[in-house]
Amino acid sequence: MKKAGFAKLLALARVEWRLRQQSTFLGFLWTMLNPALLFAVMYAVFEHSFGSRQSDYAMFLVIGIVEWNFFSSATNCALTSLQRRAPIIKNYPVSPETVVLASLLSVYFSHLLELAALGTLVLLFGASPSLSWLWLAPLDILYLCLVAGTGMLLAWLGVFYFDIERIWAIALMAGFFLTPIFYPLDVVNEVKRRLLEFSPLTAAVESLRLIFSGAPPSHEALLCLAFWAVPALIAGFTALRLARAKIGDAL
Amino acid sequence: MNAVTAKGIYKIFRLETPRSDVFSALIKFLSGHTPRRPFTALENISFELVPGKILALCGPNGSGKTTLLKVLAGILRPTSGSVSLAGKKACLLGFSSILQDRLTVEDNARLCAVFFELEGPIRKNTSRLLEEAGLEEFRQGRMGDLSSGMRIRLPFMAALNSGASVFLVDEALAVGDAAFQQKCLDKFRGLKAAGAAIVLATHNLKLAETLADEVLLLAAGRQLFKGPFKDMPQGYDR
Repeated sequence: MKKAGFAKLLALARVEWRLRQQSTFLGFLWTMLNPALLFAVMYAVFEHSFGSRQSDYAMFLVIGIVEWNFFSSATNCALTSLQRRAPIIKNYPVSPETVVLASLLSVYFSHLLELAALGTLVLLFGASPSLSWLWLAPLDILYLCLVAGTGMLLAWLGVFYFDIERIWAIALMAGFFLTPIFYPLDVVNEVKRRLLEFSPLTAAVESLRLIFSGAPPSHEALLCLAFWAVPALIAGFTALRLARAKIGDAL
Repeated sequence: MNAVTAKGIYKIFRLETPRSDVFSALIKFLSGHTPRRPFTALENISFELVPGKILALCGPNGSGKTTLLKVLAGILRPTSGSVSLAGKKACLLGFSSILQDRLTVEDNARLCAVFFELEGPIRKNTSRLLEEAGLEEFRQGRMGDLSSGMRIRLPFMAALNSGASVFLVDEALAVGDAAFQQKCLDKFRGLKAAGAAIVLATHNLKLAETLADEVLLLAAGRQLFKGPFKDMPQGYDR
């Protein structure tokens, strides 16, 4: 991406971020309140069921929610990004990739703040920072690639098939229950567990938990994440590049 | 060397028929009927424009003026034909689409500075734009609170300060008060004198007559005439 294209990407991401914060009464606080409220509800409901099987269930749950929240919010935001920014795409020479990535980046800023809050929380609970925290960078880069690739594919499909928005809402709901966000993996049987472990979301969530517990993520999990993230990113970029003219016409 | 060269441009859109439910879509699929129909927006448009000249695109609504500008700007890809522009371009199409009503005037100035690729530090360019647009006192105000005439000053000033050598302008004088319109005219003349090439879509024939060196007359996507305004065929204008 050229320098001017990169500047446009950052400028659009800044606009998306500001619009997201200014469109609600509580603004920036929602970045923290959203996962906090979801955590409060889920902890109240599931602590009784899983608290005895999973040590430090509160931290287990909050990490799962933060990691899932990024995937869910970013892909939803990306899905409608081309339609939302259609007036700009129709009147200014800006690529669809730039528009979709800008919307993803704006959510990523929130995710980084959530991670910072999570780190603070871990320290408040008595843990001390460890070298394993350095794994956050490669994990987050891989996770961002996965989210970006998925987001670009959804944005591309969303221009031509309006049904995608509804289908994705259902897929996200299924994904929430198929990812070990509020339950430990060992509550499901061996076969199902192996299947769930092949999900990149499981890999991301479990790896983040390991990192904050002071251990490095498993190589298998990182490989699994890369296995999904790299092709998704390439497919997303390719789809938007190849369909650029059609997207312009369709919008 | 030409600033703008367009050769045999065709632009055909595939217009979607109204969306229907899954059963009627299935019937359409089985019967082989396509749910889209072609629409020719531009048909074999060719012209050249040298630096320091202004070309006015004229024609009724739906004649293809804006589509041609978008093809020249690279926003739409021509179905066939080629476009080449020498030097940096600045597009003033749909002026206000870049502006965000809920953000501050300063945020919008910053966005314009980036989108029109102004040289230099963003912060400095933002301040310069606000100053030149006469909007410094509204810096922290909401963009949506400004009048439409005041709003378009930002992208307009950003385009003028972009250092572009080719300007693609759609209905620049359709908005804004008399003072702003006069300012636009003066700026266009200044750009022309400085060697910039300007392609300007307008319904205002008086503007085309006074400002443009040549007129390209379009109707239903076809090129009816290209030449000096005085030679334009009777009927369309007078």
